[in-house]
Amino acid sequence: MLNAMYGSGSVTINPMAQILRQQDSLQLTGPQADSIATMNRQFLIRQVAIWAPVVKEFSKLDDRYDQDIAYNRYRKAREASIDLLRTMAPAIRGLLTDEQRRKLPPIVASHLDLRYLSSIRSGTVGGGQFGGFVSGGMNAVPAAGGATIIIR
Amino acid sequence: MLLVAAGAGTARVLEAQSLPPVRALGPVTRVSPTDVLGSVSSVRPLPGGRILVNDLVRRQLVLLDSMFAREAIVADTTAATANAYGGRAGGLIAFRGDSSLFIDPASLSMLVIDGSGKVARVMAVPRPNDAQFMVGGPFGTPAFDSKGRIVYRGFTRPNLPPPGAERTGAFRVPEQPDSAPILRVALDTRALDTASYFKIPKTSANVTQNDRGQVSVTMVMNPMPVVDDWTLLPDGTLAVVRGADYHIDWLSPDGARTSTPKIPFEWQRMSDEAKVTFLDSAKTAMEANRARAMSGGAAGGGGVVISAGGAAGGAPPGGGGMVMRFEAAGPPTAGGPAPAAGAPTTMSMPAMNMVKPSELPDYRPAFGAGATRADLDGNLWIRTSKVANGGPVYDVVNRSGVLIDRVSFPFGRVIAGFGAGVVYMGVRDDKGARLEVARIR
Repeated sequence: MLNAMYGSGSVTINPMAQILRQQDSLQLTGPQADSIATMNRQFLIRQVAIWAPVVKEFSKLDDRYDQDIAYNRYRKAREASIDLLRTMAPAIRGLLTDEQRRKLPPIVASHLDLRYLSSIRSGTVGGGQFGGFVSGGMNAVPAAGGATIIIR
Repeated sequence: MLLVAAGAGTARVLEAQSLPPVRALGPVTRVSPTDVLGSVSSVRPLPGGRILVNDLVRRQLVLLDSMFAREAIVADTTAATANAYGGRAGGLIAFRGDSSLFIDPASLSMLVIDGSGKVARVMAVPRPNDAQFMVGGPFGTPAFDSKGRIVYRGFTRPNLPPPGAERTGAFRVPEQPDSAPILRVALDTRALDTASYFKIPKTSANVTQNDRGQVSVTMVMNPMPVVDDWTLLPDGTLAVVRGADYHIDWLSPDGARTSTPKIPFEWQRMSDEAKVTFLDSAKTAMEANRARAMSGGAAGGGGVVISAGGAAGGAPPGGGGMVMRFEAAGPPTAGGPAPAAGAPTTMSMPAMNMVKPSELPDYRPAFGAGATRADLDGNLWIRTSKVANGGPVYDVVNRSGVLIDRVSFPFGRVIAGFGAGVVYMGVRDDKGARLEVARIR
């Protein structure tokens, strides 16, 4: 579960996966889709490399873990993830035409915006599959009234 | 009455006359070492006798040399290399020439692997939402056809309850479909079409809710379903094997649809007593599996316990175990209070019930799901329900729908692929997982 939250699910949404899933409505050409798939694969591989040691460490925590240390580990990995996305974002945007960029959902477009990425770099904003880090029990609550997953 | 009996007897004689004798598979000529593979899901023969093996257990794509020694790991579990296997099970299918496609549903990408086992380039999965169905396994055997399309089993959404039913607040499990489409997507144009439909196993669910809001889910399964199966021939012909009467529907690359007559088979009558006995055995085996899964969760050994109930939740039954609590309450109104806490309810793994004996077929089905493969000569190999010497018997059916051979396989072997005059088999036993190759004759 931790791996799903951080390792592959990431702490932010993955704009490349979102673009690939909407390749019909965005009318991506074959070379565009292949290029984004290549970058997406590279991104996920490096994401796993960033988060795998953190997940391993978190999985060994007991009920009385030091929240500051855990949060610090989370924050450093999160910053590395966002930094990785920041380095790739210009190339992703450059692959798309103006018309395609206008069709991007706002949440996807914002995750390709360097200023937005900078603003969420060190926080706990959770745009990903399971949301961000919530100290005091490692709970992740994506939306009020929706599904709640509690990990103990 | 006498005429009927005589007619049935004649039919049995004719059927018996047209059944070729069951013969043993040819000799096994090579076996991989036990420490090379964790499993054998599918194989792709390459030039020079080398074999590409998709190992789902170790999440590796392994290149074996002609003597089945490990030559290279094309895609590895570790994320430390650019050729990482991916976080989920991937699929391996033959591509143009001697190249192969490795489908990674996690990254929605496909690796094009050349004939020497090198990753040549990366492509996007043409239908990202269907990526997991292109992996194969329980979803059949995806393939690349002669017109540049990936042929795979598609997804049919469950029949959702009508909108009015949702407003009543009663929770209903969507009815599962009993058939699935076989789809074809062109890699160049991304155009999608439905080639056919085929019957799949269906599991029903009964949901009851008491006055305290506690939900009980009971799964009802048929352990002996009559299903269809499909595969793609090397020339691009789609073969759909119908389970009801054991005949084959063919869809040629030019679009022509034909059907061939029923394939002779030694149908085994299921008496009422035999049905009851079979269901008892199936349920016993199922309950044993369920108990094993439940004990893992209850002991807190890292198992998963799923609970459903109010927002208050409950203490995890096993210290250190993972608890997933799903709240059924709807979203609160804007600015309103959170849903009121209800009585926590533990919903452990759903009890599995079997269908009534009368719902089992009167004759044991000739084959089950995922039974059909095609060899390089365009013959279908259908793993039948017949057993000889402890191993499965495969019916070999040619393009004309004629049963030309019946081959018994050693115990515990499944077909992983075909080469010229040989069949590759996966086997996993107490010695470990191995790849074996045997001559067809």
